[in-house]
Formats: sequence, C-alpha cells, structure tokens
Amino acid sequence: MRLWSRHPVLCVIVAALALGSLASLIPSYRLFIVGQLAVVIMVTVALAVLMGGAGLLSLASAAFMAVGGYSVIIAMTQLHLPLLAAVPLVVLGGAALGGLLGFVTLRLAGFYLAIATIGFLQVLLQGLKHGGALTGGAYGLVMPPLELPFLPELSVESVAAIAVSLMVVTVGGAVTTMRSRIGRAWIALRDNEAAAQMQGIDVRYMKVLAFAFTSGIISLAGVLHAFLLSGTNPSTYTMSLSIFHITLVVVGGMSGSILGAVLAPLILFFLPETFSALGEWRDFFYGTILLLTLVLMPSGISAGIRSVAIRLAGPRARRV
Amino acid sequence: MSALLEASDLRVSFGGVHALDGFSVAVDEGEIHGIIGPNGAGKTTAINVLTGFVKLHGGRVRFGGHPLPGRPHLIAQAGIGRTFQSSAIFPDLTALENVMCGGHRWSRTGLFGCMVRSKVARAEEAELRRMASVWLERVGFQFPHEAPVRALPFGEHRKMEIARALMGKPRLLLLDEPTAGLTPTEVHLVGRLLKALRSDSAHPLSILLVEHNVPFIFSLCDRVTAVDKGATIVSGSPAEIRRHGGVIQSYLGNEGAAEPQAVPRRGETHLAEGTPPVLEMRQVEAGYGRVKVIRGIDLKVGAGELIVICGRNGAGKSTLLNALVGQPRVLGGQVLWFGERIDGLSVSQIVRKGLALVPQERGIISEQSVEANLKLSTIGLRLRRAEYRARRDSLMERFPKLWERRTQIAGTLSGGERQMLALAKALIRRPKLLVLDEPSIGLAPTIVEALAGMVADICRDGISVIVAEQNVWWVAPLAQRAYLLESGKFIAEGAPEDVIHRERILENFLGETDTDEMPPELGPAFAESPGAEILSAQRDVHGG
Ligand SMILES: Nc1ncnc2c1ncn2[C@@H]1O[C@H](COP(=O)(O)OP(=O)(O)OP(=O)(O)O)[C@@H](O)[C@H]1O
Ligand SMILES: [Mg+2]
Repeated sequence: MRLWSRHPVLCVIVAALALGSLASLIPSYRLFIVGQLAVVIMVTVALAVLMGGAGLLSLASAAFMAVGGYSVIIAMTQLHLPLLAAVPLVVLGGAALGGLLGFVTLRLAGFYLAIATIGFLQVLLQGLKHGGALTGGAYGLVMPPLELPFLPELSVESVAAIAVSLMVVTVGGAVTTMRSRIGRAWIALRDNEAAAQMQGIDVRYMKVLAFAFTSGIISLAGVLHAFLLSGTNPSTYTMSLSIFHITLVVVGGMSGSILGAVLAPLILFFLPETFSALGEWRDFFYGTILLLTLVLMPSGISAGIRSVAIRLAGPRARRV
Repeated sequence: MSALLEASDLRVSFGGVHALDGFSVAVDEGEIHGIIGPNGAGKTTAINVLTGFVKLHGGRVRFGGHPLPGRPHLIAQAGIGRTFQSSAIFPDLTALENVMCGGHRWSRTGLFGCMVRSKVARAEEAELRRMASVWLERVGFQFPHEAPVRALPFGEHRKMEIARALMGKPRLLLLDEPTAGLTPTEVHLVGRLLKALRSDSAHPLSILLVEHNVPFIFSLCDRVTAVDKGATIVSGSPAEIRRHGGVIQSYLGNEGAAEPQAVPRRGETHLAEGTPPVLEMRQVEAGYGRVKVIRGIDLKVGAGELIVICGRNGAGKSTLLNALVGQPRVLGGQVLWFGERIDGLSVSQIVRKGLALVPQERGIISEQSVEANLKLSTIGLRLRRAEYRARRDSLMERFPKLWERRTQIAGTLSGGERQMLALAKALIRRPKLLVLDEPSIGLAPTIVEALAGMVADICRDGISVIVAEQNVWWVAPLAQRAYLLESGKFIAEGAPEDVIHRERILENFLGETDTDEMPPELGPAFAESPGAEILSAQRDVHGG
C-alpha cells in the first residue's frame, strides 16, 4: 500500500508487464476475447470517471471508439505515419475532440447532456458512412500490417497482450487521478456545484478536462479495438454499444469508484462471452446477471463490496 | 485606512421581489462584522452577490480596492471564502477530503502530475492532508476524519464547512449562520476560533457573518449591520445596535431585553389515569444497519403535553424522532399510539394516524410553489376545498411573510421562510402529535417568540408536541417534561428546569479543561453510559 502511494508509476509498469505477459500465455482463441475485455474495461473505467466521478452523462463512448479506430488507420495509410507516432497523436486528437464536445455542451446537464452526446454520435456515424474513400463508406477501413521497430508484424495475440497492459495503465491512471485534487474536484462539482466553485474550482474547466481525459482513454480503446478486429466497420459503433457501456458503468456503481468499473465488464461481458456454448441463451444469461446484480446491489458493485467490507472490517474500511 | 470590502447601495430583484434594495456594508481589515435582520431580509442574497452567484442590478462592490471578478471561483481565488446556510457538503467524500477540497485554490498540480503522482503532487497532497486535519481539529470536529460524512449530524457538517472555507486561506470569510444547530459549547468554541483567527498575525482574516444567535453576534462582533426588507437600517457597534429602536422593533423583539420574558404559561398535564397516552415508547431501540443509535428509550406523551428532548449534536435526537415515523425502523421495543402498536407500520401509515414530523432537513418540495407545497401535504386527508381554504387562511395569519410568497418556488425561499413553510405543512394536517426537530434553527428572534406562542396555542387545543432542541430557552418554560439524551440513552428526565440544569453541567464539563472528576450532579445513569468515556476523551482533545 505504501509502495503504491509512493511510486504508482513503478507499480503500474510492473503490473502491466506482468499481466501482459501472463495474458500472452493464454491460448490464442481465448486471448482474443481477453483483449476485447481489456478494451471494454478501458472504456468502462473512463466512463466511470466521467459519469460517476464528474457526473456528466455521455452516450458518446461509441463515437470516440470510432474516432480512435478510424483515425489511427487514416494516419497510418493516408499520412504514412509509423504506428508509434500515430497512436499518441490519435489519443491526443481524441482528447481534444472530447474537450471540444465538453466545451460546447457546458450549459447542459443530466438528460439534456446525454441527448446532446447522442446527437454527436449520430453526426459522426453519418459522416463515417458517407465519408467516401476516406472512411470506406459502409464497409469501413481495413487495418494495414502493424509494424513496430523490432517486431515486423504484430499478431492479434500480441495486440491483445498489449491491450491488457494498457488496460492496467489506464486503471492505474484513473485510480490515481480520482484520488487526487482533480478527482476530488470532479466529485465536488458533481455533488454541489456552488460549493465547488467556492473552493476556487473552475467548474467549466474541470468539466472540459473530464471530457478530454476520458475521451483520450476511449480513443485509445478504440485504436486497440480496431487493431484486434483488423479494421473498422461503421455498424460496430452504434448507440447500442454506448448503452452497453453505460450499463456497465451503472452496474459497477456511479460513485466514481474504479473497482466496480473493472468488475462489471468481467461479469457482464467476459462471463457471457466465455460461455459461448450458451448460444441463443447468451442474451438471456446477460439479462439475468444484469437484473441480479442490480437487485442485489442497487447502488452498483462497488457500493455492494464496500458494505460487505464494512461489515467485515468495521467502519474503518476505506473507500474502494 | 479604506475598508477591505465595501458594498454600497446594492440592488437585486427576483421578478417583482426586491431582495436587496439599498444594502450597504463595509468590512475593515481584521474586523468581525455581523449582519442581523428578519427572515427574508436579504442577508443570504447579499452573500450570494458578494460571491458572484447572484447578479447585481445596481450598486457597487469593491474588495481590496478592486471590483469583484465576475465568476464565483475567481472570487474565491481572489480571497473570499464562504459557507452556505443549508449544508453544502460533498457527501461522497470523507470529512478529510471535504476539507482538502478547500485547498484547491492554492494547490497547483495538473492532470498529468496527479495521474503519475509526481514528487510535487505528493508533497502538495501531504500538505493538503496535514492542513485539513489541523483545521478539522481546530473547529472541534468530533468524528473520525476518514468517516463518510453523509450521515453525520447537522452540526458536524457546519463545522466541517467552516474548516473547508478556512482551508482556502481567505482574506475575507463570509459565514451564513455558522452556529445554527450547534450546542452552546460548540458555539463558544466557534466564537473562540473566529476571534483567534482574526488576531492571527501571520494571516489576517476579516469575517462577515450572518446570525440569528443574538447574544453570540453581540459578544463577538466589532460592528454589526442590521438589515430589513433588503436595505441597511443601521451599522454600528453592538451597543448602538442593541439600543436602536428600529432594530428592536423589526428584529430583536424581547430578545433585546436582558431575559426572555412574556412567554406564555405552561399548561396542565394531561396524563390522565385510565386513558392511554397519545404516544408511548417502551425500551425502543433504533439505528442504521446494525448500528444501534438509540437504546432503551422510554417516553410517554399525554394529550396536549409538550415534551422537550435536549442533548448534544449526535446524541441521537434526530434518529429518535425519525424512528417514531418508522424511518429508520424500530429494531426493538414497542411504540404505542393510543395504546395500539405502531412500530412496524410504514411511514405513510403512521403519518395518516395523525403524527406529523417536521424533520431537520425540512421536507419541502423545492420545485413546487409555496401554495402547492401546502396543498400537497393535505393529500390523503380528503379535505373539501372550503375546509382546506379555511385551514390555509388561519395558518397564513400566523405566517404573513409566507403568504406574501405563496406563488414563489419553495426552493428559492430564504432559510427562515423555508422553515415556516415546513411548519405550516405539518400544521395544516391538524395532527394529534406534532414532532419538531430543531425548529428554531434559522429563525429570527421575533419569529422564535411567535413560534413559542404558536406551540402554546397548539397544546391548548389538545395537540401534543415533541420538540428536540439545542436552543431550549424558548420552549422550556412551556414544557411539562424534558429529557436529556446522551449517546442514545435518556440520562435525565423530569421538570424542564432540572433537566436543563443538568445539561448545562454536562456542557460545562465538556467545555472545561482542568477537572477530571465527573460532576456528581450528572448522576449514575450518565457515568455508566458508554458516552461518558467518549466524552471525557473528547474533552481532553478540545481542552488541550
Ligand atoms: N430566486 C428567487 N426568486 C424569488 N425570490 C427570491 C429568490 N431568492 C430569494 N428570494 C426572496 O428574497 C428574499 C431574501 O432572501 P434571503 O435568502 O436573502 O433572506 P435572508 O435574509 O437570508 O433570510 P433568512 O434569515 O431566513 O435566511 C426572500 O424573501 C426570498 O424569498
Ligand atoms: Mg439566509
């Protein structure tokens, strides 16, 4: 615990490498799903910060995944940027676009904000479908071979392992941020905007920052998603994908806690995926788990775990 | 020397309401300045103007010789801190984190630094943490600093908010009723703290505070400004204000006199033999989750009786009253209503029987108008329109100010007006038992007097009343019995004067520094209660 609070970067790097190499031991047909799980966790964690932490409802997660996927391919094929330059650029671009979305929707809150982000998603989707050669129209784009300096061709398996590592980095970054002055400022402005302002918190800046931070992460997840699927397809990035993400955040808990955002995808994405033998019953299974978790833990998994922890360890149990 | 803060001739109107209409105040460097005035006079609006939440329609404000910046966070950064009249805490953060938020103004780490927890970020975080716990100690916060704050007593929220405001190292501190809901000892502590802050040479602080606690404000402030109907009546030393005819008439009432007098006489006891009491509690236990907040509560209320429950912040008063209406549920013992058990019934069933609670959080519907609030609270009574009108009109005679505001949205009422509305909502149901949780908080002295008269009238009509209060002087002369609650148990009961005397002793015992002996007057029940140990531990912390 001390090591973590002193040297979080070190801890995260070690954990990322460890989990990444552990993941590469998994048989490859499974590894693909594990990679996707990592992507879903990244998105859920980002949204948990945005919605649970800063209280900003957004249905634009699918849009930013599309931004990540499309622009990384465009950057590599049209601009001929190397992979290692393209990805950071795309993440920064996604963050900037997110910041812009946050800025223009500053005056909106709650459902109004959610609806505005749906508008953004729809505009973007239409743009992608009718973008001609640039976006590949209804077929989307195909991923060029992925080349790193010492690895001529990156396999899907290594992408999945890398995704696991980056997921660990994201989770670490989200946890440290939420437990810093910025995370507290987000929770403060969510709970009481007037009181937050009187602490000298620039509420507008903080909201834009929350959008930028989380959109950057979601764009990175979108990049990895496109790598895993070797391309983009506009029919992936729909509103139902956004709604799936929001479901995960709600099940995880809307308190700004990251733990729930990691566990919810495990329960609601990974479990149904692994029992693929369920076939047609898969959706039934998903729905049942969804109902069960919400009925048993009405404020989400993180709150549920917390009350169990308090029962076991007394009220001294820390926030998780 | 020119004043640190100079506001002259401020004007604000909401629709047709002139909330401020010629309000002026000047606060010097290092001064403690008080603002008094009736409910709805515009005091909170003035503070909202000074912190950028409400736009001025006229007038001029200068802070440190400059005009105020336009937005609240810039004003905070310029060095004005404030607390809010109704709790404005961040319920999902711990107490320590709440206070740490106050340091946002002067901490600088950016997003990247926070994310990788850079060296600078760690140092800053440690400093925030250290200062926050120092402030929590200094305001006398009584709970673990890592405690979740949502369920803490109201008074603790107040103290935490003061600590949070101080954390921002302001030059001017605006406090909106900082002592509402605090016990006399805590009020004393806050007064001492404010005085110490003012004379802290390293970091001089000026304070502007709004209060209805008249003795507190007169003993603490260098100067006092009295307002009425949005305008400054007079500004001067406490002695001048106390003598000012206009202030006495509009605000102080009898409080201006040395001792509160002219209070109505206490009625007869109606605990008649044979008939069951209106309410009886037998060995009641209640709490949240597995934690029992109150234990072994025995209480009887006869028809037309007035019962006072006093005790410290966090002693369990609100839990006891809320348990009466079934929220939280009674975990053990019995609650009898005219001899019939009502523990286990739902809140709405209990309320329908004729028990009306005015909770500390006031239970008004903020998005609805005053009139709609009244009407909604009669739902289920199936009143005919004429009957409703008659009840409403007779109530509004008691609360003329509220009637002027009948079309206003309840959420925008002033603190005191909201309080009156909550009372009116309970009274319009004509309950058989009225339960009031700290009803005097936020009310001007004249209104508190009116409240005393009203409660006396209510009892005379045969309605029983239970009042839980920190500030008992106004009800004690009316009450048949008083109970002293400590750590969830009654440690004294009997004639109000005796019980209050015990409470004073307990309070003094907590406030003193140099005795270790528990005063014998507190009695064996107290010495045995688990609270005794906690209290002496707390006393050591505060005394040292
Ligand atoms: N947004 C608003 N719309 C309409 N009227 C308002 C609004 N805000 C405040 N008022 C009215 O302005 C008047 C002044 O309110 P303010 O809150 O400043 O009173 P106050 O002096 O703080 O009273 P209290 O002692 O009860 O807290 C009140 O009558 C209130 O009803
Ligand atoms: Mg007020």
